Amino acid sequence: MTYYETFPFTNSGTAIDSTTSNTSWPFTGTDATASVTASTYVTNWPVVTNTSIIQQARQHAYVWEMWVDESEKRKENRTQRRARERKEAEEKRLAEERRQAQMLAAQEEAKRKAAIAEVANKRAEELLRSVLSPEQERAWNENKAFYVVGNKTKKRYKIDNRSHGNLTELDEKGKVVAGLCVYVPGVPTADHVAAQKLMLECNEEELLRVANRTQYAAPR
Amino acid sequence: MKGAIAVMDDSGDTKIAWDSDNPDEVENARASFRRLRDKGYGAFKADKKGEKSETMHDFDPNAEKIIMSPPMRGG
Repeated sequence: MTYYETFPFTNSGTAIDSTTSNTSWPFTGTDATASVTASTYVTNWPVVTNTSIIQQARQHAYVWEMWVDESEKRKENRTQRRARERKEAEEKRLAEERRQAQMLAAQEEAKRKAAIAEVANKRAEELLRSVLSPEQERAWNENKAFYVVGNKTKKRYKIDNRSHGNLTELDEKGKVVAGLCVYVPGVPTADHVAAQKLMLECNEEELLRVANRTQYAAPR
Repeated sequence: MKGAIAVMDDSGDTKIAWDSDNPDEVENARASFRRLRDKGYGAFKADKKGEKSETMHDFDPNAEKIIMSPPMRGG
């Protein structure tokens, strides 16, 4: 069956009051005296033919009930759907706000850490320069690397500006013969470099005890 | 005479200063030195720029500058 939202019908009968043609309908058309002219709603309703007026009234009432019921359901669904959509849109908006706030906070934190690291690196660089000999400082300025002689073995080492793998052992000709992996945790790179220099020049034995040494196959 | 211990850390370094004429400051610096040594920190005396440094095992209140570094680790 089809029903139309443009109902209500306008009756031309004598028993049905047109004011009842609202959502408080349905009328239970058992009144044998109801005389509803089919033609008044033929454009809105399916026409039921070959039935008595009473039957027609009942059928129309039934259809009307169904129409009202369906209409209410649709209205309810629309209302629910709109409420759900509003809720989803609000949740989405709040989630986006939270994401933006988190992103901003992360950016601020990164900036703060970068500023702290810059100050730390500068202080470490000053400390390193305060312990370098003039020759070592010149080499550091030129190449960010310098040479150190071990106090025990008198071997020559090269230290460059990295936090790991920056210490190499050289032979008499200045070729790299081994790598020494030893580091100071939790300090800027320049502090780590200064500590390596001080250890090699003052306590080479201890550094060699701690370091992991990698011998290279042939002098480089 | 003034001296200072520069303790290497994540901020670059933290200074512990003392005046050799001030016994409290000297004692504070000595206690800090001992505490860090017990943790395995290396201690080096570096009086003048470029001059050869030397390892320190005991606190010297007459040292101008002491540098202490956290224990080294093999990589």
